[in-house]
Amino acid sequence: MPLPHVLAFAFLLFAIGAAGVLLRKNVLVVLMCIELMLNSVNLAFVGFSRHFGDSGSHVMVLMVFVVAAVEVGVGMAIVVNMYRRRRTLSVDEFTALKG
Amino acid sequence: MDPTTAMLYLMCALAVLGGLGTVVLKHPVHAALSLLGTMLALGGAYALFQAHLLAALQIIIYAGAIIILVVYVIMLLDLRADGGFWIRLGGIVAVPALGLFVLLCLKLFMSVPATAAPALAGDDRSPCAAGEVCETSCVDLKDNDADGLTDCSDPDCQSHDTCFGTTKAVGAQLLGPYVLPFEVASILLLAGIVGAVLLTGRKPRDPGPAPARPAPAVALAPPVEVWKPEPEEDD
Repeated sequence: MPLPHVLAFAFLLFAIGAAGVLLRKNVLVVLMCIELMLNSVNLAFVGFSRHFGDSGSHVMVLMVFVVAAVEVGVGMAIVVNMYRRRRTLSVDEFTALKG
Repeated sequence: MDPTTAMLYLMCALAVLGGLGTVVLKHPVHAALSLLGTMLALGGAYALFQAHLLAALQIIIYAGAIIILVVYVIMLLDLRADGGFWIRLGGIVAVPALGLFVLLCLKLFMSVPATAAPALAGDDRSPCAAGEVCETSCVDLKDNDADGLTDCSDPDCQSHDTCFGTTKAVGAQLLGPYVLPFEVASILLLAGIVGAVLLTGRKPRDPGPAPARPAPAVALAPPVEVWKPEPEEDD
């Protein structure tokens, strides 16, 4: 599989994830779309790594795994907390930081 | 197009399809199941890219831990499913079918020994082309383990096909040139744990003056604290 095709698939996944973050109202789905974007970056990393024969980007993918795990942990904690207070999951209702 | 490349295209297409489902499907459970399909397909793609360790970690961490956490939160928030019968049936059937399919594909295509796996098209850096005496062959020239396998901790051998993507090679990278990100990751994980505990743990209420209670005539046992659910805070 040539490298440009891998990058095209990675770009498609990233675009879908970004569209989901921008379009969806449900904060859970927004978090999932962030995961999707992280995964598209991972796919690009692995494609580059295979193309150039360098294991170093595998380490970068591991770092992305760590970041994704921490992000989901903290993000879900925030979601549960906000749901307790507001009884909704719509991102439009979460305006506590609005100036 | 050899079967491995065809499977790669199929896995990437399935991943994109799952991503579309994540964005398009209305209910969060369906979105989570679509995301699970994406993770499984990407795990298959990593395995076909010879990134064995990453494929295993993708399945364990993403499909195992992260998606389960998301589904748990959906369950705890008690969101009512409004999908029809066919959507529910599709979710029940499609995702396990996709997982089985990925496993089957890996069984079929990963049984090829790593040395015989074809490199990427246009990849002229593959150290040992088939049937060619390769002067940079780590197997022949470098100091080997007693079992005759490639010494994956040797930096010159990291890109060799018997080493590439194995736990040994990635581990040598992780504790070699990339030891600083490795340590920073531990601090990040610690911060994540503390943050999650702080955010979900309820604040202890200040007890205030306890109401005066007549002391029992005979103290048989220390009073048992009865746990009461706190009233929900509404603001």
